[in-house]
Amino acid sequence: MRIKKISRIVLCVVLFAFFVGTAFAEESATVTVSATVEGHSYSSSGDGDSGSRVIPYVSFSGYAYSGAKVYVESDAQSVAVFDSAASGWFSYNVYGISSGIHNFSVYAKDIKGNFSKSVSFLIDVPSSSITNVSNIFVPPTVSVDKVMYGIKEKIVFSGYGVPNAPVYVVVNSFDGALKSFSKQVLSDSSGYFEYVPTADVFGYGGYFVSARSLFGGVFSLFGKEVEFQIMDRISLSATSSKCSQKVDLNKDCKVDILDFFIELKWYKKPLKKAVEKRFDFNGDNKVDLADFSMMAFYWTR
Amino acid sequence: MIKNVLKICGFWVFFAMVSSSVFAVSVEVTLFKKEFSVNDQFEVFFKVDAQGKDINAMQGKVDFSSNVFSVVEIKDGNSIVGKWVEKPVVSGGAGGFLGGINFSYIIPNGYKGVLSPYYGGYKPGKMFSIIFSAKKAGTGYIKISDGKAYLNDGDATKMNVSSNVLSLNISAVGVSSGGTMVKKSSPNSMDVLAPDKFALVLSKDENISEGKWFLAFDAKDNDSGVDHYEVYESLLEGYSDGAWSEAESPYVLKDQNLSSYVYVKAVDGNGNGKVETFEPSNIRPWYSYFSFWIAVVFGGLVVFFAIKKVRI
Repeated sequence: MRIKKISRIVLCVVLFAFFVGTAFAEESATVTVSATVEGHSYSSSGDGDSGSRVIPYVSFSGYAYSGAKVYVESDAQSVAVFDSAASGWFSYNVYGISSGIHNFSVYAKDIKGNFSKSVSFLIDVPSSSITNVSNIFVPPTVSVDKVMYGIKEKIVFSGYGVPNAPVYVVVNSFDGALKSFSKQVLSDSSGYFEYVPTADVFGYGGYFVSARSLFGGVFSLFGKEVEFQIMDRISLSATSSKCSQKVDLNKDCKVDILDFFIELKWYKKPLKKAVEKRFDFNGDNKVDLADFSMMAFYWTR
Repeated sequence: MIKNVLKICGFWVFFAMVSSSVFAVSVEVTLFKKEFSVNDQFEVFFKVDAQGKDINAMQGKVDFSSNVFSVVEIKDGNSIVGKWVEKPVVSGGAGGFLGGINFSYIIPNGYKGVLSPYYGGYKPGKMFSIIFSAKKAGTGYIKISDGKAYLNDGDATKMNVSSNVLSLNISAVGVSSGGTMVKKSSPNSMDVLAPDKFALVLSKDENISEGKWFLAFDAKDNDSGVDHYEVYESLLEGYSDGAWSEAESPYVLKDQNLSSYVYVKAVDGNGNGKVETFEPSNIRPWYSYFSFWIAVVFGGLVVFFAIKKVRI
């Protein structure tokens, strides 16, 4: 009787542990890196002899790629553009930020002109302190040499990440048939990495690839997703769009305020014509906040 | 045996319910004092605790006892909100509320909380605050209902939103000592700073403006919030105070030739304005101005009559 009771309790504990474990599993897989915010206050009144007045600023530092252009935006307004060092390290002080909550975004452009995904964080900037935002880890860029491949062709996945660090190139299929094919490669001293499989590794279908770096024991966020297709010879003549992201409504290869206003025009409105279905990103036959959430995820600059 | 299985399942459902409510995103409805008198005004803050999740969109409704309170003002300055999809507005006239105040917004690239040099980790951030007026003695409540949040995962995974119920006791006139009351006459009188600088994005699109040129803009003010925008278009550089007309973003340009200077002013809740300028990208040649030819004709006539007079 007692054994039965104990086994029942054990089973319940196991079930609970399983549930809690499941709930946190996604968390531990997706939480990668953020910024560390520190600060120190200063005396705003210089007393003549002891030194000059210190103007408050926000300092941004972290890692991108070798010789990358690093962009800092505050509430979607550009506040700084500067170069990272050969090691990928960057540090820059931005003056003139008003006090209060700001949504900062940091992203980079690699030497081939590809933009990374933004790392964003909301910071309550004090009026009388220097704010240090450190440990910013810009996700790697990734690109493909073509958008359509034959089954026997080689696919060149390449991009830039933190120099001399492991990069995980992850391929997923649109229909979910291929779940997270992952390949680890090592970036060189400039941060360049490359992975060249043949298309038959994945099979026919539509795919998207993204990448993330591992540096100092910490993963970066996943970078931008880039789409490609593997088709038979007959279909290879089909046209393809350079800006294929479905939330990029005006097809300017950016997801920004212009796409937002286009989508806003269709918010809670009935979608009658087939052409209007493109505003329904999640395919539930309506334009609601879920569609805006998808747009917010892919927001660029 | 079946009994045992049912018991285990019962435990499972119980734990699942408890756990899911712990993991839900929550909105904290707060203020510093809970006792007020009739005619007092007080500011209630609505802060989002993402509970360790990364969210990028939220919607809901502010529910309140409309027989006890009326809404005076909604303030969205110093907020975590990136873009309003449905901005909360005071409607139905002074104190005439039936139902609640709907809101929905996005935070591009996600939100886990607000970082600061003054504390470690993330803390809940304000989405907006509402100044209420107590119009009748009694007990009233304020809460968020029908709340939904979406994860920043590209699939818009839905999350439940929980909220506390703020219960307030309104006493008869003169009982309250004031405390955190807000003066109706000057709710934003401390705001002396203009909104931050903002970008003017020129574009044209069939879906927004039937293919016409328009300007898109979105300013931020961390004190009283942006109240409205004003626009002035002119062929000549410069603007005067009386020339502005109220506008919304996106603004379809009157001058589709892009020959005009376009000034856009973001005005905050205390009347402070920040002006941004869009310079003409297609400056017209001097001979294309009608006013120039009028001046030439007028000048010619003056010269003609002057010469005639001298000859006489």
